[in-house]
Amino acid sequence: MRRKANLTGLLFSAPFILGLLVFTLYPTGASLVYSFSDFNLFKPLAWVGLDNYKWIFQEKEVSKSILNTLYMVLLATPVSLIAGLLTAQLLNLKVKGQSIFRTFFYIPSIVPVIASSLVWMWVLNPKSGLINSLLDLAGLRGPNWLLDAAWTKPSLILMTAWGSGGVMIIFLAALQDVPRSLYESADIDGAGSVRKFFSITLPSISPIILFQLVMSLIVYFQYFAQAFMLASLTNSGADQTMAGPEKSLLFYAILLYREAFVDFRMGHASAMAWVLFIITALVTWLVFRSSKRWVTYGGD
Amino acid sequence: MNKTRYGKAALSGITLLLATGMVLSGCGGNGDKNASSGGSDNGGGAGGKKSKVTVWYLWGGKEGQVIEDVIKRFNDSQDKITVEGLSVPDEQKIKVAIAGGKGPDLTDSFASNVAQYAKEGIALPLEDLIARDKYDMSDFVPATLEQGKYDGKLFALPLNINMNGMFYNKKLLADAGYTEPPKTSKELIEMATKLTKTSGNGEIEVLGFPSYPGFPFQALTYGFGGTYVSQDGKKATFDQPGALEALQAIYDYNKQFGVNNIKQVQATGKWLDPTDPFMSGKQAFRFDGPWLSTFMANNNIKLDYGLAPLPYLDGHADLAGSNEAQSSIFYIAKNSKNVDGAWEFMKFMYSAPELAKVMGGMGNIPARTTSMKDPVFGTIADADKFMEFAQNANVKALPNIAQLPDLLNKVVKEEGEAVFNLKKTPEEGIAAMQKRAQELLDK
Repeated sequence: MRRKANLTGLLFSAPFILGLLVFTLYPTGASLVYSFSDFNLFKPLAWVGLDNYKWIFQEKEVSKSILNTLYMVLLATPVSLIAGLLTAQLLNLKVKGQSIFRTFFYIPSIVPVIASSLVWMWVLNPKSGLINSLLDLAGLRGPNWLLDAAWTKPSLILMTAWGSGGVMIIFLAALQDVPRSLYESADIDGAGSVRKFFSITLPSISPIILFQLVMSLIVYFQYFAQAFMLASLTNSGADQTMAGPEKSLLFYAILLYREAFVDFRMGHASAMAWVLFIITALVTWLVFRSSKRWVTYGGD
Repeated sequence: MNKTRYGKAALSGITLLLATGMVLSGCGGNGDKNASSGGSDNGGGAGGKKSKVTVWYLWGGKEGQVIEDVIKRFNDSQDKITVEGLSVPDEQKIKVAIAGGKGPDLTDSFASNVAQYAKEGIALPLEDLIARDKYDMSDFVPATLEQGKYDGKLFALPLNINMNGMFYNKKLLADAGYTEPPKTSKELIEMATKLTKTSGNGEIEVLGFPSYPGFPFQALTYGFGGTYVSQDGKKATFDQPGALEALQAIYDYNKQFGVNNIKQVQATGKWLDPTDPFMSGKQAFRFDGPWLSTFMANNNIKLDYGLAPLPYLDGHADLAGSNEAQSSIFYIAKNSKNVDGAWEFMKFMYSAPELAKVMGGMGNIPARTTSMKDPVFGTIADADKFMEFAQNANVKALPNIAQLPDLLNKVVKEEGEAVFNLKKTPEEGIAAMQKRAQELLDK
């Protein structure tokens, strides 16, 4: 009877288990094997030992892509968290039309990345684009956003801030969970709103900040879609190098994709994926370790 | 009660396992099918059953329709093979599909990819089929046939000869007092500088130089009679006058008018679109292919323009008409399940009258000399001029070597960009290209 029950349970969970085996564990294992071999999908794979990993440490494009990726991780993460938190704070104010504002700020997050990237390419057009037209009204000449290596990544960060609705909505939920009583007692003690924000709000939502931080770090380590659109869709047609001006848009995930699906060097790509996995795991672990010092859990 | 429940669960479990098994075997089963394909289908005519050939092409819209039309004519012309066409405008997708064994039998690409596809085992060598059918290729323009070869073997057949011509805006030239387009590098540089108009803050209103749609180094180099690589693919040839003069001209123009101002023009207009600066009368000289003429004719863009050969290196009249030829090609996938069917369709499409129809429909110059004489080209804008350019003895092509993508996308792009942005001098740029290219070729 007991065995039967176990079997029934197993059978019902079989779809998940099989899915995990076929679509997750098998590809993961295969990529580990590929990372030690020379494989292009068309020819049989050949064992090359650590060559692919050595290539990662020697290839200039890899180091360039790591620097570009770190730029995004270090700048876009705080920008999206701060933009998300500030918007959430504003949208938490009791004003007329609150739900309309909430909807407006969340809308960018439901626009597909491809569509919003295309729109941004218009917005960032150096002559007729919205931003440069506004700057022009103020008598300033805006930059060549997407063709100037110094401005391509700031363009992406701008897009990030615009699309931080996903981060915002979670912060908004967290803000509503902060106990009213804490603010009331702070009021009695004569605390100002800045003091309340830093001494009550931030500590109360710190577990959520930790969650958002970890998620954002992972997102920016794997940063791909927007940059891919901007780098490969140029005015003069598709650009197979997908790197943007002076390789300023060559992010780690883009190089990985290019190695895999443009140049068919699956060995390089798989090794890059494993290195990225290790880096991300390491950084996440460090963040968790540091979190003991700055995250407060209610009830502790 | 319990028993039935158990039975049902077991049944659904078994069904599930079977289904998974089918999926898995479906994934792995391609190898076998491929192994047994090599000609066993042979048109499929014997049993009265039609064999199927899938053709994927990168074109869409009007050009895609041209391919669909030739497919229809082929299907109507015989009853052994049915060709099914599909527009797949993403080359990566096609490659990945071929790799997964779910790709087309026949597909198109650019000649610059032939070496890579041959080397990677994506494309099938055509030698055996050509020998078996004694297929006559003497009608193809020899330089284009070279474009289908890798390591001496033919892997693809050329469709067309693509090359740049120098389009010029007659009104802008006339306003500046010119009646003739430039013939030499020196004249081009002088006129481009004079024809450039800027506003008070340096923004360019009329771009004199052909630095739109992109960085014109390759067209200028080949126009000036230079090359990137020797014909045998062994020696880098950047250290010759053509390439240096081309890079110098770009550098000087950028220095005079400002990199940012030029980039602004590049970023503002869209290629082959009404916002394209040449079509809106804001570019004096433009290096582009026959599609520009076709686009303007089809879209009723009224622009008083002229078309001339690319200027040659000053003082070297013997280099007049220098240019770079490129081709689009079709190749049979190495793992095609119907090689014979694909080859039959290929022969049909590449026959002189069909090739004339297909290339005529796209406004391209066909790779066969007989097809070029087809009356259809009398009705296509500038086709006569491009045919004349194509037949010049100074036209060259990049050799099909596996290092080509790296040479173009890494060496030339990186070093060229550094010079374009004035971060390196032309001499430094050329020295770096020469050195890096040679290292790549020696690999």
